[in-house]
Amino acid sequence: MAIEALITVLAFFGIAVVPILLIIIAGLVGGQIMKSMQNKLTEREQEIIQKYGKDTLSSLSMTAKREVSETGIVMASLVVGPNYWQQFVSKIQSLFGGTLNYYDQVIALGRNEAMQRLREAADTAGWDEVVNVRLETSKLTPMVSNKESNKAMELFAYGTGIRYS
Amino acid sequence: MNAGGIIVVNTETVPGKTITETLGVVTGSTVRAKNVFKDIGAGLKNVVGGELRAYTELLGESRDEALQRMVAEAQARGGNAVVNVRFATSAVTAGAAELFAYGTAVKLE
Repeated sequence: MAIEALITVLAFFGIAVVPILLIIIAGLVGGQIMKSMQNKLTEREQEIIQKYGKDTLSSLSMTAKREVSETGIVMASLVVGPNYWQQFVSKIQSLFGGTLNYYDQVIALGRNEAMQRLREAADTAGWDEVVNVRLETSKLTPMVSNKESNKAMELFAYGTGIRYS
Repeated sequence: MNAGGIIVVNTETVPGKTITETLGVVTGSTVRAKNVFKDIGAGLKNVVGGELRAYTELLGESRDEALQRMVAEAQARGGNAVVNVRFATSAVTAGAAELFAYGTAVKLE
């Protein structure tokens, strides 16, 4: 009897209490993590703009009509996921339809971060500019397909780095 | 990236150079599965959100490998550049992804 009672208590704890606890923790900590990511990103974007005087990325196939001495591909990517709190709220929102604000924010932040990484990769490789920039989004499948496991998406940016002679 | 002297670009032409011959489409792909332990680690990070660095690294490495294979094929065909490179990612099965790169191998003058 005592063992059965213990199992019942543990099962209740596992099913009900732990997920709620995790959602609450995510709600408290997650916002802070996103805010610090956003702040760092803004700082780094400013650095690049100050160094080159403009945004170095362009989605056109060629920008200025200047002599090009060297070219090469540049890639950058990252995987982001919404936290448990954001997933929980989005799940409720998706019952009613409309905008899923948290997914909006996470994807937008991730994409901006991927583009900033592309700028930095180009900066490290010594390219003056990146043309023909393309952006891609893909979803990562969970390990166990029928389980609601990690919600993660990859944001990928690539382009052609060019160096003016 | 100028892998082994081969110019790789995703524009239709190589700026400042002339294409003398096209050598057909070259492809490179890898199928990679996630490591169970990394998956658990990423699962913990997923609670609070933000970047899942283990996955970022995994996909980055795989994509580099796909690109290397594409470049090797271009080299085997005697090309010295790959133009109009495109990337694609597809989920093959649970926990695995295919990273795919393709482009046109060309000879530059």
